[in-house]
Amino acid sequence: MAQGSDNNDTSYTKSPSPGNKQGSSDDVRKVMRREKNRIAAQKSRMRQTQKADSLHLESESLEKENAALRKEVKRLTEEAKYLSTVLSNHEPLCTGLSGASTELLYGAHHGAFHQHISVPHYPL
Amino acid sequence: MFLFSILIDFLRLSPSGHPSRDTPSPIDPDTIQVPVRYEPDPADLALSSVPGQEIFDPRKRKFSAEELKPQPMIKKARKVFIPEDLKDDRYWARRRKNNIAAKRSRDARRLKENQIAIRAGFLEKENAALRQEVADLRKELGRCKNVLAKYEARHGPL
Repeated sequence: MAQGSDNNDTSYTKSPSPGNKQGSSDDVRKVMRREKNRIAAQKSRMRQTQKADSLHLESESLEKENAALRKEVKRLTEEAKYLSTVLSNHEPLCTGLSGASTELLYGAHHGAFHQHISVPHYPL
Repeated sequence: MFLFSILIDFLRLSPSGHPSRDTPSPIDPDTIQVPVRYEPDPADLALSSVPGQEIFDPRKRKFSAEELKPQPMIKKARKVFIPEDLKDDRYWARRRKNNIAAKRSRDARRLKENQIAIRAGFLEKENAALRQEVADLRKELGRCKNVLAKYEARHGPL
């Protein structure tokens, strides 16, 4: 297949001219209009292609970001799971509980730990 | 979060009512992890769905890197002028076939672009929700590890 009739191949449009003498000025106008339209169509197709390409690029980047974020969420929740296991294993053996320990939580951050940790939930 | 309530119980302090999270903790990061509210314009959805098939669902339909490649530049054949007397039935039959195929191709392309656009919109929302989730998790882990560190400083490692 030959490359782009999108370019300056207007030879097709040069069809046989009309018989009457006023033909030429009409012809000129016709040719001018055809040419204008050709350029407009070319521009429009170019815009469509660019829009699609840019959308595809953005899409690809969003998918990558999405995968990375899911990985991070997985990593963090597994770390949290690990910590809770460590804690539960330690609890029966714990020797560190005394009145002084409560200072750990209440001391400098008095009241802070009673705050709700609210995780926003969007209804589906 | 469950971790923090365990920590509080463990240190025998009065638990404050933490809302426990509903989302399960899957091993597979591809399982849907964050609830996202996404309501695409129903007109857009209609433009992205084939009437004979299921309505397009941006949550499930991922577009592979292959599908997202930039538009291949199809080399269009030069228009060859054909005189009227050569335009026989066979010619017109072929023209009609090609016109139908061209329309089918344009429609398919338009549909695909619409689907990609909706999926992109959904992903933006989902990523924002995921980012929030990561921030919350980090914050919570940070607090717990901080408390644990203080405990360990006093009583040695667990």
